[in-house]
Amino acid sequence: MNITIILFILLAVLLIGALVWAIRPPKRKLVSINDVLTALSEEHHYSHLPQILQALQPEDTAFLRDRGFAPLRRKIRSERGRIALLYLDCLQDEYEKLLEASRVVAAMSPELIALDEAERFKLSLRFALGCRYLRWRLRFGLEPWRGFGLLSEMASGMALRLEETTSQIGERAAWSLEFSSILKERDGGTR
Amino acid sequence: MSNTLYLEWALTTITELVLLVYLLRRKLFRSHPVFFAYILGDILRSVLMAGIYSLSGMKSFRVWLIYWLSQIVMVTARFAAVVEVARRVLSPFSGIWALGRRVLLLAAGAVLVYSALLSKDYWYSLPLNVERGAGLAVAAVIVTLLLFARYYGLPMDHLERSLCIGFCLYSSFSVINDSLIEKWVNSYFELWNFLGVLTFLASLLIWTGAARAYSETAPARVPVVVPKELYGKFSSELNIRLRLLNEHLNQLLHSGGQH
Repeated sequence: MNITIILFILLAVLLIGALVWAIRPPKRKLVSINDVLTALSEEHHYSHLPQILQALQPEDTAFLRDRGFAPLRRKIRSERGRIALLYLDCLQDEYEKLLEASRVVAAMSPELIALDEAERFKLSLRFALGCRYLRWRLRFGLEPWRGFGLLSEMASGMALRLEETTSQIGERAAWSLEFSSILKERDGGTR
Repeated sequence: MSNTLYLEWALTTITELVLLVYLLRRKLFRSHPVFFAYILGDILRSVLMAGIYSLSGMKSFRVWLIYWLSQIVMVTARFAAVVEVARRVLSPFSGIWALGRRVLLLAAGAVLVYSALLSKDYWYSLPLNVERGAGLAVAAVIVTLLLFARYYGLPMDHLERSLCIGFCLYSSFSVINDSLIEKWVNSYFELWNFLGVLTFLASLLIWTGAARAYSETAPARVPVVVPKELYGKFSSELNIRLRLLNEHLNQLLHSGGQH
């Protein structure tokens, strides 16, 4: 059998596989308009990141090893790994809520910004893969962490970005009002 | 042709007629005119081909030409029916529809180019290549449509879903079938015919089941529309928040501690 035939058959089989995957009932539940607004105004998990990162640093528990408490150190580190996993769950939950909100808004928009949608799709893929990878590493207590010491740099970078976001969120209060009134108007009009 | 093939052919035409009755009784010809025309066209084509085969046999060039011309017409109709389904699923959401049709067009174009590049350039292979390319494009469009609808959580009723499944399975199996006949053109001919009709029959049964279960009383979808500017603002804010969460994850990945 030549390569052309194999390529055609392979593509057709791949499409059948993708069809089977795509027709599975979706796991996520549909969110309402109110959920979109809530997702945008909810408290973020960002604020706990420095503590989590601090807890994961080896220096934080190094003194235990130096004093001969290696088993205790291992126990503490595994506990901290578990807490980091819980944190990751929260982070993922928040991410999915935001993604869901973005889909609800997209479904209501008369025209989508293709670049925004593409970026969101790319981000969601990256996040899903990163999350899975990190979870796997935390679970197995592997030693894959690439150098660190970025904490302070990260904190300042994050503060800057948070400021940017906060200012946008400030503006959002006005949009939310506008948004709700439009929806109410629509609701009234269709009934 | 063997008796099994005749039987299969008759069974397919009967199933098409049953489906046509359901489409008429449920008034689906109004909401799905292209699909209705596709089924009707296929019945007429079966009658035409049966007449030609009984008069001229199956071996002449003229019969070969009529068969392939009618097949290309049917493939085009199939493509149009798929576009109709895509429009029905996506068009209530104008923004998603505007983006979706570009994505679907791109998927179809890419697959057609891929097929054209891989196909043999013998003149007698042309109809087979066209059928195969179009089949692959139909399947790709449906899969893209379903993924799109899934990603945005768009509602899709049982009938549209069944139409998608039927068209995709039939098109994909046609591609496999067409690829195999290219290799074993003579020894495989009977089996090729049998499998081709069998996959179409399976699709017909899926569609008939969905048309039978279709309820006219299903509530109409009234999508809510927000101004474009508002979407733009929400969209950019959501993207900033998502980017932030991604950076968070990256920082966790790159600045953790050694155990």
